[in-house]
This record gives sequence, structure tokens and C-alpha cells, in this order.
Amino acid sequence: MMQTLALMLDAYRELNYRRLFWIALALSAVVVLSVAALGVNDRGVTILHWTVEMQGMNSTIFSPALFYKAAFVGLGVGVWLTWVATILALITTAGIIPDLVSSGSIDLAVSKPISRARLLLTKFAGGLLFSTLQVTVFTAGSFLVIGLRGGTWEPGVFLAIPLVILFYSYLYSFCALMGVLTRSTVASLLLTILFWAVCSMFWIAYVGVNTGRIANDLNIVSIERIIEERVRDRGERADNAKLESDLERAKSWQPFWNRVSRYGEWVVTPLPKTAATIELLERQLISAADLPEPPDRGGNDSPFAGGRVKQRDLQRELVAWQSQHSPAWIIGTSLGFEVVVLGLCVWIFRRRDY
Amino acid sequence: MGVWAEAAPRGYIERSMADFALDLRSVSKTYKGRVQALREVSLAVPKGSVFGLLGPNGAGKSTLVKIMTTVVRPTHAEGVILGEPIGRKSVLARVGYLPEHHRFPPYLTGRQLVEHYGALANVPRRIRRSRAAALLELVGMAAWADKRTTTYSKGMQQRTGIAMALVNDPALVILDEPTDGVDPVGRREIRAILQRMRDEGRTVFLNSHLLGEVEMVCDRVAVMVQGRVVQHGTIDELTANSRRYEITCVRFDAELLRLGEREHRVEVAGDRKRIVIPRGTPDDVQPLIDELRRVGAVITGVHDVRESLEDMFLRAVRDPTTGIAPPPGAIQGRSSGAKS
Repeated sequence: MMQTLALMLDAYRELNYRRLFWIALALSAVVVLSVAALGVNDRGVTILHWTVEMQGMNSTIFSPALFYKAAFVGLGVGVWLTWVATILALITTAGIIPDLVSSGSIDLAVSKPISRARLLLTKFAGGLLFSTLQVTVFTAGSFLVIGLRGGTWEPGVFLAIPLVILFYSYLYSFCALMGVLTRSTVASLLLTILFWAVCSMFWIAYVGVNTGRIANDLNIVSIERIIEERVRDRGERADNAKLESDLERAKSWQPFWNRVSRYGEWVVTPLPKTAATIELLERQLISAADLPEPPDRGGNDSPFAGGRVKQRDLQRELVAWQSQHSPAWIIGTSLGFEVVVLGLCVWIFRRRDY
Repeated sequence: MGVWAEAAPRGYIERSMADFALDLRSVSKTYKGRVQALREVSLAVPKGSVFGLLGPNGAGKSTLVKIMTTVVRPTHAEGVILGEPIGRKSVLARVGYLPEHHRFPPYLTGRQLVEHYGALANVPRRIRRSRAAALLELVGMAAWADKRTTTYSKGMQQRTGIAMALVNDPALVILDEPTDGVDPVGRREIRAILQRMRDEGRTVFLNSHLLGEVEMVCDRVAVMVQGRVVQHGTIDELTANSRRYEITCVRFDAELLRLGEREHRVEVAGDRKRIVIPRGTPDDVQPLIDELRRVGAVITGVHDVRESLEDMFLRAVRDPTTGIAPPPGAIQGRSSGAKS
């Protein structure tokens, strides 16, 4: 315990020494204050005492509580914590493991009565301290803003702390492995960002494939309904040749979409699900019922399936599909990745001569 | 970690505990690329002694030290450190270590550094605080204790490193080039600290290139060449064969001397002559002095001479037949498995 505390204190001192830690913390405060400066009234969005008139964004559509919660989830967590602050965190902490294994430093550390595995994992936890402190300060500030400005005290925002730490830990475990392998801060940072981009692309592709699959399924339902309506209205005189041909084609695509979707699932399952982990917060904080219904502009507002699928229906089905991925699956498979990567990292670190 | 050969016989461990702080047998290390850094090295360091490990660059000294401190995994190793099988982490709580090319965290002050590594060695907080203050005072760094180590000179870093190595009150202190970068005054102070450690009953394992320093403080030395120990013993033992008496005198005819079977040689340098008696004792010298007086020689000096540690070192590292020192670096190729 004494050794663990010493290593965590050391991690804090290291972060404290790096100016980027304080810069990121100050920027977090600026983001919270910026959101606090925003507001919503019946004419549009307010910035301090100015009003920017917006038809689709005013207090008749978004209550102040929903506005601040959406700002926290969308802007605060979705943009600031998961992108800007994460990149700053990676830049700040990417050097921790390479510094540990660098010549002259590693001798001092591993010649102490502490196992290499514990040493490495505690250093890894020390790296997560950056993210923990950042997200805790940010979330506490956001809690106050939502409470004071939005008029609702929402303890659910504190769920951002474990979720953002989890999200960061997926990336940082990979960064630690790269640090042990390359012993270079720059290489481990760049490779981690590349890995993050690759994971995000796979996830986007997976969502894209399923969007296509769902749109195709909706198209089939839509065509069948139209044919049924025509037959009911016009009887045997209805000319459904083109519709039946479209239906045939859509049905012929179904096995392809199902197969690609299945392959996509195989690919993304073992990878860390960074975006999906953060989306869990949105699921928790903002229920679909709270959000205003997208306007129904008739049957031709979707680029999918020749305009037969309504954008609103597609969105609803996509949300339903996404909610099929349980938090246990999203977090469990991502943690599985993390455990494997950290296990490999520890195995290499334990066996290596310095 | 089977390579550490943990199954040392109980009797062997008990015997080692009583006499030796360090008793290594058959320590071998072959790095990737078949670089044989150590070839069945065996060493014994008595408790309470100051031991010097010498050797040219690439002889394997640092690898041996790193194996002792678990920084490097041996290909094969037997033996004990402070009564525990080599490679066991628990023993490191009683070992102090200052590596050669250490790099201290730039964000720590001298005091924080000593306390941090004390905590990693499981020293309770109150003890490590008071001990850090005392040790920084001992190494002359009290005035700089609260400044970051990045502001320290190399010599100041070495002093702080020695304080760090002592924070856990170690029974065995391993110092790799501790006087590297230290000025002459600092070196003298460090020598005094080493002698104090010995007086306190600690065992000091010193890895140094500075033979003069080693000669001044070490009770025993070992010389390593290309991964093997080629000389091992007290300085007296290692230089005993080189011991000789030299009598310098003037104004006599060497031809008149009657020394019988006694081994000697006469070296002439102008008017001055030097009579050398290899491996002589004071008793051997007395008849020769009488004989020199008989032939009318004027004796200007009688010297008890032995080779310096540097001479012994150079003799040890050179090939006895060719007189050529081996090139720096370890041997590359398949492990020979030969005994050292």
C-alpha cells in the first residue's frame, strides 16, 4: 500500500510539473463557464444578456434543463472531454511509461522490492489520474451549471466520470503497450491516435452498414405496405410491376446487408468502443421522449431507398438498434480488449532486460 | 523465473548467511544476438567488507550488478544475496543501489527523491523523512534538499544518489561509479562515507573505473574480463606475487658481490645501481645489506615494493602470452559453458 501511494503521489507530482495539465484544467473551466453563459428563452439562444433568435432552438422546444443537459452531453462530453481534453491528456500522459522504461530511470524503479507488474499497473493508473482529475472538475462544474442555470439538479451527470475514465483507459492501455514496446513518447502518442482513428472508422463503418441494412428493411416494409394499399384501393387493376421489381431487388440485398452487418459485428466486438461508451451517458441522461420529434416532411426526406423511407423512421430504428447493444456488451468487450492489451504490456515489461 | 535457480540448498544458504553478504555461483547472461555478457561468474563478498569490481569496458560488471538488482534476468544464476536466493524481490528492501547512468525524475527535489525511493523500499513515512534529512546532511546536500534535481550538477546528483541508496538502511550497498563527475573534495567525502558504511557493518559493492579510489577503500576486489572473473581476492593477495625489495646504492662493483643461490637481479642506471629481490622478506634483505657494506657500497635506500592496483589490473586484463589487452565489449557467439 505504501508503495502504491508513493507511486500515485509521484504521478500527481509529475502531472503537476507538466504545464499542460493546468492548461487543460483551465480550458475545462473555460468550457464550463462558456456553457453557463449560454441560455435559452422563448425567442432563441441567449449569450449572457444577448439573444440570438432561433426558431428550432428555443424554450418552447427545449426546456432550460434539457438545453443544459444536451449542452453537457453534446458539447461538454461529446466534443470537449472525448476529443480535445482526450488529446491533451494523451499528449500529457503518453510519456509516463516511456519515461519509466527509459535507461537510467528503470534501474531505479525495478531495483526496489516491488513487482514489475504492480509497478507498471500503478504507473498506468497514475496516467489515468490526469483524466480523472479533469473529468471530475469538469463534471462538478457542469452539475452546478445545470442546477443553477437549468433549474434541475441532475446527479446523473456524475456518470460521466467513470464513463470518460473508461473511455480514456481503453486508449491509454494501448498507449502504455506502445510505450513499453517503442520506449518513445512521440511514437506511442502517434500510434495511439492512429489506433483511435482506426477504431472510430471501424465503428462508423459498422454503424453505416447497419444504417444501410435497416434502411433496406424499412424499404421492404414500405414497398409491401404501398402495394397492399394499392391492391386494397384499386384491386387487380393496380400496376405494381415497378414496385414489385423494387421489392424483389430490396429483398435480394437483404442477405448481403445481413452478412456485412454480421462481419462488422465480428470486427468491432473485440475492439474498444470509444464512441459507444460515451453515448451511454447520453442514453442515461436524455431519454428519447424528452427530445422534440423531428419534423415530418412527408415521404421524400430521406436519401435512402428512393425516398420511400422517412428519415424520422430510420432515426427511430437506428436508436432502437443501438439500444440493442447493452452497456454490458459495450463496456465488457472494451474492457476485454483493455485487459488483453494490459496483460501483453505487463508480460513484455516483466520479461525484458533493462 | 526458473533462470534464477531458486532451489539453492538450505545448508548452502545458511552457510552463506553467516559469512557472506553476497555469494554468487555460475551466473551467466547471454543477450539476444548471442552476446555473452557473463560466463559462469562466481563471486563471494564477505559481510561488512568494501568490495571493488573492476574490469575494462564491456567486461560485464554492470550486467552482474543489474542481475543482482533484478534489472536484468540472468540466463542462469545460483547463489544468495543477504541470505536469500538471488532474484528474489523481497531482499531488495535491504539493498541500496545507485546505478551508473541514473536519471532522476526532473519534477522531484532532492528530498522528495530520497523519500520517494524510501517509500518504494517500504520505509515507513516518519522514518524516511528523518532519514532523508540526515542523509542529505551527510552527503552535503542539505542546503539543496528542496531544489529540483534538474538544477543539480553531476556531482550533486551523485551525492543525492548516495543518500537515496542509503534511505532504506541497507545491509548491502551497490554503487556503480559513485564518484563519477564528483570533484576531488567530493571524492574524499564519498570515500569517508564508504568507510563509515563499512564501520557501521554494511557491505559495500563498488563498481568503479577509478583504480586509485578502489585501492584506497576496498578490502577485496575482483577483476572481470569479457564476462569472466579473472582475479579475485584481497589487494594484498592479488599483489603478493609482485612484492619485492629494492636496494639502491652507489659506488660499488657488482662483480664483487657474493650472494650465493639467492635470487636477485642488478639494474644499473649510470652511477646508481638497484638490486631487486623478488618476493623478498625483511629477513632475506639483511644478509644482502651486510654484503653490500662489505664491498664498500653506499646504500641510499631500501624499499619494500609491490605493484599498484593499476599494474595488477593491467596485468590481469592482458593476455599473458601476447601482452595484448582484449578489445572492449563482450564476446559474441555461442555460449561456451566453460568455468571461470
